[in-house]
Amino acid sequence: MVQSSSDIENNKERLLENLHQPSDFATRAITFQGKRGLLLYLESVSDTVKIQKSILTPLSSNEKATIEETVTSAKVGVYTNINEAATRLLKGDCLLLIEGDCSIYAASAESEVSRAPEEPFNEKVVRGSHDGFVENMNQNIGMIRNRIEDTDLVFKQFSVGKKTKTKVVLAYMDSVVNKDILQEVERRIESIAIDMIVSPGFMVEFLENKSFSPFPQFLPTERPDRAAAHIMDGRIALLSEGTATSLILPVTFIAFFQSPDDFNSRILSGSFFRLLRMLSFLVATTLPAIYIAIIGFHFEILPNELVLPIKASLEGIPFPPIVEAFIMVFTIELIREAGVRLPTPIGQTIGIVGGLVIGDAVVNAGFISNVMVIVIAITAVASFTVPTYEMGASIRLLTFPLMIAASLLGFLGIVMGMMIILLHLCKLESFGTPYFSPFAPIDLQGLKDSIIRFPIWKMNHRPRDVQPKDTDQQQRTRGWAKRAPKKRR
Amino acid sequence: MIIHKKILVLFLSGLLPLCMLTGCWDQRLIKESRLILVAGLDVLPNNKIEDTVIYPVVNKTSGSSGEVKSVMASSYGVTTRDARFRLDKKVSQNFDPSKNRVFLFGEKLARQDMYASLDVIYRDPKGAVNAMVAVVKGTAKDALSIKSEDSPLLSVYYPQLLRSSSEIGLFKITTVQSICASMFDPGIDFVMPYIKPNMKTKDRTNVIGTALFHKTKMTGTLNEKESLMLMLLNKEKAHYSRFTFKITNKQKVKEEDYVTITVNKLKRDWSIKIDKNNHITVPITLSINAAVNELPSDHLNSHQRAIKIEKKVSKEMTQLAKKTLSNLQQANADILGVGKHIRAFQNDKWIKLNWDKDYKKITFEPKVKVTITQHGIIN
Repeated sequence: MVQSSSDIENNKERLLENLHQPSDFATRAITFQGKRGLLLYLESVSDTVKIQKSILTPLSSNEKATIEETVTSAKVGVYTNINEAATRLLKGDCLLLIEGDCSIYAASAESEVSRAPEEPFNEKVVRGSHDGFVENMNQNIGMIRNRIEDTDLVFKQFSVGKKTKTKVVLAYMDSVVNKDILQEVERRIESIAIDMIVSPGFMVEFLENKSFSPFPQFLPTERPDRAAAHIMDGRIALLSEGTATSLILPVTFIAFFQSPDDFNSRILSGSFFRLLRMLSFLVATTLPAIYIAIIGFHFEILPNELVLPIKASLEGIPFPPIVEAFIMVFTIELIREAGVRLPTPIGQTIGIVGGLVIGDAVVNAGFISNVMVIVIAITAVASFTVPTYEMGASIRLLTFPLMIAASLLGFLGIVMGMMIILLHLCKLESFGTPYFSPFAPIDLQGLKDSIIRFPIWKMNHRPRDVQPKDTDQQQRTRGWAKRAPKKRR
Repeated sequence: MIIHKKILVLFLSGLLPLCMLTGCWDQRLIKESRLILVAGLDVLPNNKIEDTVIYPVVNKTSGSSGEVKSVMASSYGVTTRDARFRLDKKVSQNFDPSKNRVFLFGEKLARQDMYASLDVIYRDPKGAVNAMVAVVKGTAKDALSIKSEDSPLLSVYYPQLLRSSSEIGLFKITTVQSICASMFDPGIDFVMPYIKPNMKTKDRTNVIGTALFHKTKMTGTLNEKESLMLMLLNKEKAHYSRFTFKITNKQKVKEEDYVTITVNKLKRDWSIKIDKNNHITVPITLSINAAVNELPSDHLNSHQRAIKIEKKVSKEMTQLAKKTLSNLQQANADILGVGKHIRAFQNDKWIKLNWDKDYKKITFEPKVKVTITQHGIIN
């Protein structure tokens, strides 16, 4: 604890010492009511235009009032502690030292460097909002506030990271959210003792129950509309400064397969897309395993017309099915990984070389059967239809154990593998709420928004897995529709 | 907790080699299996069973999915299994009959005992019980040695042949599974397609009717028309059950003497009457709504002519039904399941009957009523 003194030069030296002589430190001499003064700020985080407008101009014109009254900045703090003052300096505040005054005045002047909101890369939609979170926390909060104009909407701020002091904000509806869950989330956030929080990935690992589960237990999203919808369901959105990704918690398995597009398109097509995605989940996890089991154990279940083509394509392949499948999956993952970080023009080349050249040559050379190429390609495409990247990655991981199980025991192995996955899903919890709801425990109301989506006017209740305080979200939404008259006989 | 983890790790590390070291003892790779797609069974003069099989061989050239051709192999033994054992010694790769599509039986074997040669399939969990069955006039080996021009693969030719014949109402598709129950049911018997390879050209096999069975033995045959009628008597209507009858005998152009009808709707009324002397009478009435397919002599727009044709056709069909039923009784083949019916509804009478002998004594009273409802699009 270093107290400030009335000697401004001394104060400045102490501040500089505290901050280890920063190179972006700027200082300017001023006079206020005839007294000498110093204005200190960090060029990198403070906005010089703001300093000019709200500090320098008022100071030079006003003659009588105190500093707090003169400065027109949004916030002005008074500190006598050098350390605290230095912290303010780091936040972008501008410090005022006046000769003969022990206090240090901190006027807010942080520069707001942020980009314009863009549609998130990996959560594109066809219709609806093309808005996306940015790295600036205030802007993100604003985006949610714009969508939910309600006094119940609470933003609770935490600071995580002993050194980074990353701002973390929990957004929730006070009248809906389950207080037990909220308390548990707060308790876990407060218990994080780490120097640095860089990305939401850090938060996920510190907060989630089972880190080694293949299934993601928080839903990361960059879409404000998605976050707002989940907040209205009674869930909590966790925003953190410096990243455009917010985390929704607690969340269910089915949430990873929902997309805003489901509700932007009409009921039938929305349900069809949802069904397609659930099907693709099954295909992506089990198709290679089923194929391996069939050609290795149970080819009698093949339809008669398929037996000969498959037998013909497999003739002369030097590898057992499991090795064949692994080579192909490995190749596809290689192409994907190589393509992710490359600039687009080169990425396309990789796609062509990998997809067409390798795929064609490997069959022509007789290393891999063409049916296996088809199976693995369908699996890869299916795994990319999942609207959330995290779930897609989990699904691709789950394929491997199932493939091994199928190659050891055939269908029996697949059944055992699926059983373990299902057991795990049923047992998994996200902040004490069942992860596999509404399937286990079964919730008939919740099933309306699961494998298919019911009309929105049928969904009168919020999902029950988070046990919201207020369970009804709407009633009589179609008040204009008259009740059908009773049929006379 | 730490102790628990240690136990878990030990358990898992014990489990892992257990999984990995078991190897592939129960694996059955499709690429290493010799898929038998058609099999034929005959009985040789020395009472041995000859098993003839057709399997596909892929001629793989780099770049294409390969050319498939049929290969025939045959061997004999004291039983079917023994013959297969000997066959396996001749054939490369693992002999695998689980995808068998057609079973052909030589007539001689069929007349001995069917079950004995099928036992091996019923016993095998992977046995192809959905394979179609047919009886060959002559030997099954002959039927399997033809070179069909319709399809280079006999494994495609025979299923298609049997299927298309069932579409025109000659018989219902019979499989190894579907005949199993009737073999041991005293009150009902079964039929199988009856085919005959053309031994002169060796390029085709003709369906020539149905083979009638009593219990496990073949006891008689029906020709094509009788087979069609049997299907109708059995309340089975195929897509195209067609009959051609001679209705006049005086046209200059021979074709104009005939009419062809297709059965559109079929209704069968039958009852089983047992009198005091335990004599069984079975009146069967078939009401048929028919479409005229072919009537070169024409003039169907006249109502009277239509009625005339109806009467003539009804009469012919009643005759045919009588002939068919008497053939069934001669062969002692209770295809209609009269015995089963009696056992179910008049059990007190059934226990007094000796169905093997009494079936031949029952009186069928068939009556066919044909109504022409469609004339075709010209009148």
